[in-house]
Amino acid sequence: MGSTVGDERTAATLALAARGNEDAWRELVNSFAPRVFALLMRQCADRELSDEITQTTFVKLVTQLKNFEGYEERGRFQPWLFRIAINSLRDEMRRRQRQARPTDFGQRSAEEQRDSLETQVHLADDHAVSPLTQAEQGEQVELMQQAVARLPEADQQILHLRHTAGMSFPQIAQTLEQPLGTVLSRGHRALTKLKKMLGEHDEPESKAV
Amino acid sequence: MSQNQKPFETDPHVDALLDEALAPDAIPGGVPGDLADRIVAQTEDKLPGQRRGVITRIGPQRIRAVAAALIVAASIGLVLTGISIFHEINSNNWKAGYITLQAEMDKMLKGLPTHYLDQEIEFLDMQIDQFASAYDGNGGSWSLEDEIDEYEVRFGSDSSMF
Repeated sequence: MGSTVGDERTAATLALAARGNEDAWRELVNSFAPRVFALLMRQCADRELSDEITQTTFVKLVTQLKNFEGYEERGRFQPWLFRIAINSLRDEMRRRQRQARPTDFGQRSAEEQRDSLETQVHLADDHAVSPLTQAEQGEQVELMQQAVARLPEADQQILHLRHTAGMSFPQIAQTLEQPLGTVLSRGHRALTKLKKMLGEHDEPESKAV
Repeated sequence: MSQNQKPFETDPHVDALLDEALAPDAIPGGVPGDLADRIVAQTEDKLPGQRRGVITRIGPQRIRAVAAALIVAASIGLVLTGISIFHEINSNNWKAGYITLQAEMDKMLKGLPTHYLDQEIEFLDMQIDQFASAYDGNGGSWSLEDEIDEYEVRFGSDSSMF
């Protein structure tokens, strides 16, 4: 996923909204608010907090909107938006000193990591005899959700940014302010673990990004 | 992506499953249906160009109404002050009337801009000079005589018999 037609439309909508067009602003909110909310929910599992931070994120966006007049979309808007959301959530969680799920990779203790790996192995054993293609679609989705939930937090975050926020790997790298290679490596590792957990031992038909 | 970076390989089937499993609508409870509306309601007046000045927000008609009300109030104030002063004068309290008048004039003068007072003083000074030049200073000779002489010369008539 690089610069796409969607990105170009986002740029055009942003430029209109930056000139005060209410319809364009509404389109931006309709397009991105659910994704921001869902991403935050994946991070903290707190609906009220996610709702609040989503609103805060868009208030910050609207106050910065004038800077987007004449903006040329090069895949930078989404990383900027989601980084605001993630950082705002992190700040708020720190402020509230909540025991929510951490958002940083490497924050989990060694014990938690070990437990997680053990769980992954059990899950893989449970589903190894049940190829993904033979399961019902709903069951497959549920299994996938369970498998993702058992991944390390950083791996989950990569998957959430890609599949919940809908970002490309370069955008994810910008959002997390990490090298693209690191993000790709983590994404690859996450998928490998998922496949293992889901019992897909056969090499899948692959495509290059 | 750098040239020596290995292309990332994805599994279309797993990707499609992840898209479905991690979609915004797939979160427990889903996305609040009114979320976007609430955000728009909260932010639309902050859009660029929506921040209008006080006068623009109030509107020209209301500004005119406020200005008219202020003028009426000021006029009423002046009338009442005038009535009060003349009432004191009519009640033969000349001194009190004079003091009140003086005080009101002082207040008015204090309220005027300095540059306006300077202009007025210069204008008065000029008028005094004109008046002085039109008067010979002996208490009896007016420029009126010069004007009559000029009139006689112009029309060829002698008014000395008067």
